[in-house]
Amino acid sequence: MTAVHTRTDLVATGLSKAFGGVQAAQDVDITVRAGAISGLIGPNGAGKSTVLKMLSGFLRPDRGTLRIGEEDILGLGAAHVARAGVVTTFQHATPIGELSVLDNVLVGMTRLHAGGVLSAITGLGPARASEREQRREALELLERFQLDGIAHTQAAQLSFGQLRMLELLRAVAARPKVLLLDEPAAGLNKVETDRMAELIRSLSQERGIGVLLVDHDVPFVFAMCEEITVMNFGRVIYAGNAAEVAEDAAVRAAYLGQEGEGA
Amino acid sequence: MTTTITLGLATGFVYAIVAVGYSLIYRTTGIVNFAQGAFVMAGAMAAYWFYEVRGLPYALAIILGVVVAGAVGAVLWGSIVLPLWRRDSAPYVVILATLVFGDLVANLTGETISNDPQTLPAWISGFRVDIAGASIDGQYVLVILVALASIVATAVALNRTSLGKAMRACASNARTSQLLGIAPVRVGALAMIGTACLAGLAGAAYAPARYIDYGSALTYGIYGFVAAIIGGFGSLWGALAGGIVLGILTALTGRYISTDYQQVIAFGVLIVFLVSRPQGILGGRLA
Amino acid sequence: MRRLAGPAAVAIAVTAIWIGNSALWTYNLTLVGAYAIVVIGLNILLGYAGLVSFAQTAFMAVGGYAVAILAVEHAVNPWLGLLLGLVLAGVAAALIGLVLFRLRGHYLTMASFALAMSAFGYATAAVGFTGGSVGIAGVPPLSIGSFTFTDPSHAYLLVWLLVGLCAWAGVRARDSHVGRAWRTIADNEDVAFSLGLPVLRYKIIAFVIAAVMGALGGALYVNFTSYVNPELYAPAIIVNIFLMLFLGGKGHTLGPILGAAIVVIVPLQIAGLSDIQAILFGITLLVLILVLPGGLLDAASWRALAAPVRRLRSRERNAPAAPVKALAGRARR
Repeated sequence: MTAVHTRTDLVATGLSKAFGGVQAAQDVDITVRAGAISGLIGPNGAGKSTVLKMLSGFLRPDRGTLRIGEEDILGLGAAHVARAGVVTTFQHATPIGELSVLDNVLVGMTRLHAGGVLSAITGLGPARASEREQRREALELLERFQLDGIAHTQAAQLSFGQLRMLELLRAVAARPKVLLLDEPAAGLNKVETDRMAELIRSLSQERGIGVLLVDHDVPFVFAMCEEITVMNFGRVIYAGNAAEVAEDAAVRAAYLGQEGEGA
Repeated sequence: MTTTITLGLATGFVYAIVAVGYSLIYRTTGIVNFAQGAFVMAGAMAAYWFYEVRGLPYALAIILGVVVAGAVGAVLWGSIVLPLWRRDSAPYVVILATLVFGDLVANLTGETISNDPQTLPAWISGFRVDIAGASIDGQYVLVILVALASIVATAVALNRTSLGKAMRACASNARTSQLLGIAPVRVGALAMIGTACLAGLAGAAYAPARYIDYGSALTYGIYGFVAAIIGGFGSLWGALAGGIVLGILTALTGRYISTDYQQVIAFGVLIVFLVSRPQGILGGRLA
Repeated sequence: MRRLAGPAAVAIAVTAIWIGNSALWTYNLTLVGAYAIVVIGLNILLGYAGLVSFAQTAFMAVGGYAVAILAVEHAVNPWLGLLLGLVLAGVAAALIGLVLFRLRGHYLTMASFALAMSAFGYATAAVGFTGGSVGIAGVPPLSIGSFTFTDPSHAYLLVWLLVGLCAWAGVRARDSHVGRAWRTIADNEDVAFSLGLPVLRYKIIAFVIAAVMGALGGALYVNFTSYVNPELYAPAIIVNIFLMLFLGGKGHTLGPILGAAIVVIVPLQIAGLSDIQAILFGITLLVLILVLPGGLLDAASWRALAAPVRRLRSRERNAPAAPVKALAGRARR
């Protein structure tokens, strides 16, 4: 596929990582296109989380390349990668319980906040205006997704489904170019999963964010993603659209062979 | 010089015993017990009390001293550490609680037994050793032997006995051990009481060589911890290595620079290790 | 209510003068105030940013000795000495922080403890510079023009005004984007990284603020008592500062003040009772740590304490599982 990479595609080639003697990931190529939703699936132990950690900067690859647009972000560390526009969410719900929903979203915007600690304490300087603006922007984001009603509720009072959405919105508040979502629908019921799916789709379309879904829930990934990469034993065994992936023999072997172990 | 080195070694071995206590308790419970030094003091002061005040035979007094040290460990475990451990308290709360407990034990000892430094009679009266032309108080050698024997015994117990293996299992994973029928609570209690007894014995052995007083609790607690980190936290032989290094270092500093600078040098070395090689000489792990 | 904490502290302090109006109380409460400032700093570092550091006494020593040495040995104006002490502490904290915060968890805690012990050891050992264990006496009091703060109630006012200022600054910081960043770092560093937060910078900011407040408290103490010596920074004090924070309740605005008051006043009050007051105090502390893990101002701890009673009274009703359980996976570093 010689597609043209636009400015905010996340492109990784040849990612490899070994732990001790175990090759957790080998020669993994993966592209997350701007404004599109891609998926990464594979049985347990296939190396998905290793790849996710390499893409998000939490793990330094032994080999390979990683770029977002024209920017090389290989081995830079998670904070750097995030500032370059690649934001990750986590498997467990991580909003801060003591803070309100609005404050949690604001956390996502911290790096864009103007003014240092002295400005914040004294109220002089850019911090005050920046705070006002960010609050407005955060509230708008919540309104857009009908969550403004709970804007001032403590996150600890939220249901699990709401927490997951809050986490996603917090990540979006950081104005990412690319979102890496680690099992975003895990633990959600049907209604919540649909809401989450809709949220992800809107975000991707409206803001041109490239999304990578890393998940076990194969139907969910098939429904959401245009492009899917399948891994097994640390390698990419197939990459294509949902229909192609469903047909491929190697993929079926990987999953049928693992049937009963829980996808 | 020889006297200084021997003193350093003897003190270092006591630090090592304390360090072993830190490491073992940490590995089996994940707790850092800052009252570890109190066990050394308790053993020595209790032995003193049984011998001088109650007039019991010396050997019996030492044994009872060890028992008292173990009892203190049991009290610490049951009334403080276990409840906090069960509650999964924040580490700094446990640190604070053990510090307060250690201080409490020291004050209690000061009140009930004596506020002054005390010493005990030599184990073998008149025992002196000639090393490199200098005549050294044999008690130092006894301290080293007792401490060394304790550490070796601990190593053997950990590797050969089923209880020891249970401890090592708990160290790696308390949850799995529980499923295997090993009780982490019992193992933790054993670690604490056992290391308390060893520390008490070391204290009773050391007191005849120098002296011990209620303030020793804090000193041994602090230096023992430094030794544990320098040697490699969580490692038995690391505790020994760290203790020896620290003991000799502080002795040399005390002799050739000044006793005032002992602490500064000791903590300076600690900072250097923490910054450049936190896993210590033999490679330990303190999450 | 939280925003009024600073002014409230000042109001309480001023009222207390009139209630007590005894020189002894004024004196003791001024000491409480100096410690409160130190603990407010620790509250920001540990209570908000979650960084367990024992190093406050080291910075207290910087403030205290700066004032003493500059004023006594070099006849520097005490205010200037104070200011220099604060600057020194802040700069030192920034530099130390760069190295210190590469460490995590227990290693970080122990390094900070080593720092505090080194400060104590050095203060004792460097006889030529710090006066050794004898210390430095005759530190001149602060003054504005001809108005000197020798009168206990004047010093009292000054100190408590500063307590109010520091408490206010702490609340402002906590409610700002910096405070939110601290909270995130304390809760889960990986989340902070994933959102592009400069984690090290925020940690150092907290450390510097705590250091400056520590130096301020230390300097005020020395200025007020006109005497500095190493025992002010001994291991017992290291533990006491922590106790003050813990007893009041970490993360609570008035916690440091309450904790400082308890740790300073209570031993003084029961000193007359019997010889075993230190032991009684120690036992009480342990009981408090066990029974009120969040400190005296922590509502949750009190509720947990009353829970067995409540359970006995009401019938079993299936309370819905609190959503807090959903917030698993706290990366405790």
